Amino acid sequence: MDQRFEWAARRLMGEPSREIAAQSFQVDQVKKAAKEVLKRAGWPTKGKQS
Amino acid sequence: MGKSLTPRTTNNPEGPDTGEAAAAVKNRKVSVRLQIVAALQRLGVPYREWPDFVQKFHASPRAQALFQESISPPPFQPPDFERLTESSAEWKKRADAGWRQHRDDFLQQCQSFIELGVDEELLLRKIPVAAAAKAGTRPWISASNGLPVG
Repeated sequence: MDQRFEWAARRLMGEPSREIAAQSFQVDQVKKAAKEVLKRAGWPTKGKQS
Repeated sequence: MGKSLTPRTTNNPEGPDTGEAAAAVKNRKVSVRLQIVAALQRLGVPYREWPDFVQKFHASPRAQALFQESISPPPFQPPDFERLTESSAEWKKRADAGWRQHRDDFLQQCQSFIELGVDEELLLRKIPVAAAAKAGTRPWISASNGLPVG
C-alpha cells in the first residue's frame, strides 16, 4: 500500500505534516510526497483551512 | 468552515485538452484521486468531513471514468507442425520466432503511426483499476465519444 496517498489524504483534511510524520518520518519527506500526490490529483496542496 | 477550498484551475500546463495524450493525463489524475479517496476511506474519515470537491468527485461516476483506447492486433497464425519431419522442439522454436516477428511488426506499426503524426506518443503508467473497482465504479469510457461503455 502506497503511504503517500494516506499522507495526501491527511494533508487534504488539514492535518499538519508534522503530525503525519510523527516519529516515523521526516516532516519534509511527508510534506513533499503529499504535495506531489495532491498536485497530480489537481487538488489543493494546502489542506483544509480552519 | 474548511470546505471552501476548490480544486486549482490551471491553463493546463500538462498538455492539450483533447486527444490521446490528454486522455492519458486525465487517466493519471483520476487514478490518483481514486487512491486518495480510498485512503480517506481506509483512514475512516467521515464522508461529511471530506472537502466538497472530493465529495463531488466521489459522487460522480463520470468524473471517475477512465478513458480507454484498445487496438486489436491482427490474429497470429502459427506455422503448421510438420509431424513427420520435425520435432516438437523445432516447431516450438519456429512458432516462437513467428510470434516474436508478428508481435514486433504490430508494435512497429503502432510506432510508425506515431512518427507519421496519426497517433500521439504516450508514456503511460499502469492505472490501478483495482482502486476504481473498489470505489464501486465502472471506470471505462470510450475515448471517442466520452460516454460510458456498456
